[in-house]
Amino acid sequence: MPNTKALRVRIKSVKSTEQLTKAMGLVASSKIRRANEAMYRAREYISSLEKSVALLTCQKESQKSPFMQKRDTSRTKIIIIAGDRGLAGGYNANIFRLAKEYPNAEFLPIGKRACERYAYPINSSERYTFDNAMELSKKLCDEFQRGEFDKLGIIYTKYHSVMTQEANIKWLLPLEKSEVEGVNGIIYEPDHLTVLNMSVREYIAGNITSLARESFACEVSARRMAMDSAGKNAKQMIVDLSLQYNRARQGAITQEITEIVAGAGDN
Amino acid sequence: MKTFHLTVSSPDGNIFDGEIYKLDVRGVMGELAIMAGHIPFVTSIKSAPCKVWLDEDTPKEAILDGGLLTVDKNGATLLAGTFKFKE
Repeated sequence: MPNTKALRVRIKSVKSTEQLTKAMGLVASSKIRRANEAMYRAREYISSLEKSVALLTCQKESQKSPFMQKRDTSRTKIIIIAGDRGLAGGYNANIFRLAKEYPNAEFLPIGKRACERYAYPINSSERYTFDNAMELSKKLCDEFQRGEFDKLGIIYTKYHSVMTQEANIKWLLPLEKSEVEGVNGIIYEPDHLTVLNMSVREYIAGNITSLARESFACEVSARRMAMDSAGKNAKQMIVDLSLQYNRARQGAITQEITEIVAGAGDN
Repeated sequence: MKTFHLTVSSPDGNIFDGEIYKLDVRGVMGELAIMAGHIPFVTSIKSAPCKVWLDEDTPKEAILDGGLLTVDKNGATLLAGTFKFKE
C-alpha cells in the first residue's frame, strides 16, 4: 500500500513548484512587451544600417577593403548570445547545439549562461548596451585587419513568434558584395574606402546590439511558454497524486474497518 | 521653404522621422550642412553636437556619438550609436 505521508509530502512539493513556475511565467510575461518593442526598434535600425552599408559594398573598388577580403576560413570567431538564466525550455540548449557544429571556432560569449560555459568573465545579455558592443566590435575589427582571424559570425536566436524561435548563425565578416542599382554619382567623403572601413565598426556593433535584443525577446517568450507548460504539468501531477493519496487513505480506512469488524466477529 | 525627409536611427529605434529644413553635423572632413536637393552623398560623422532645423528659425540641438550619414533622392538617413536631443 502506498505511503500516505510520502504522498502528502510529494503533493506539497509539487504545489510549491507550481507556484514557482507561475511566478517565473508572470515575470517573463511582464518583460515580453518591453523586450519585443526593443527588438522591433533594433530591427528598424539594422534595416537602415544594412541599406547604407549595401551602398558602400556594391561598388567595385570596395573589394580593396580589408573587410571584404575572403581568406582561408580555418580561423573563425563566433559571438554567441545565450540567456542570463535557465528555465527557458530549449532556448540555451538550442544555441549550444548549433555552436557544436563549429568545433574549431573561437567563441566570444554574451550572456551569463554562455560565459559560464566558455569560462569567460560574466556579462549580461539582458543589459548589453551599444557601448559594450562597440568595444567588442573595435577589438574584432582591429584583429581582423591584422589578419588574426578570417571569418566572424554571430549565433543568436531568431524570433518568429511567441511560440517559435530558432537558433541561427549570421556571418558578419568578411562583408559580402551587395547588388544595388542606381548608385552612380554618389559622392563619398573623404573617399569610398575610408567611409566603408569606418562604418564596419558601427555595422558590427549595431548587429551585435540588435541581435542581443532579438535573442532576449526570444528568451522571455521561451521562458513564458516553458513555464506555462511546466505549470500545466504540475497541475496534472497534483490531480494524479491527490487521486493516489485519496485511494491510499480510503484503502487504509477500509482496512481498519475490516480489521475492527473481523475483531468484533471473533468475540 | 524647401524641406526634405530625415530619419535618425539608433539601436533604440527611429529617434526622429520627419521633414526638416536643414541638418548641421560634423563629418570627418569638417562641418557640413544638408539641405533639400542635396546630391547623393555618404560620409562618416564624428561625435559632436549637431543641429536639426525644423524650419528656418527653429534649430533643435542634439548630441550624437559618431555614425554614418546617407543622402539620396528620398532624403537623408543618419545612423548613430546614440543620438539625444537636448532638452
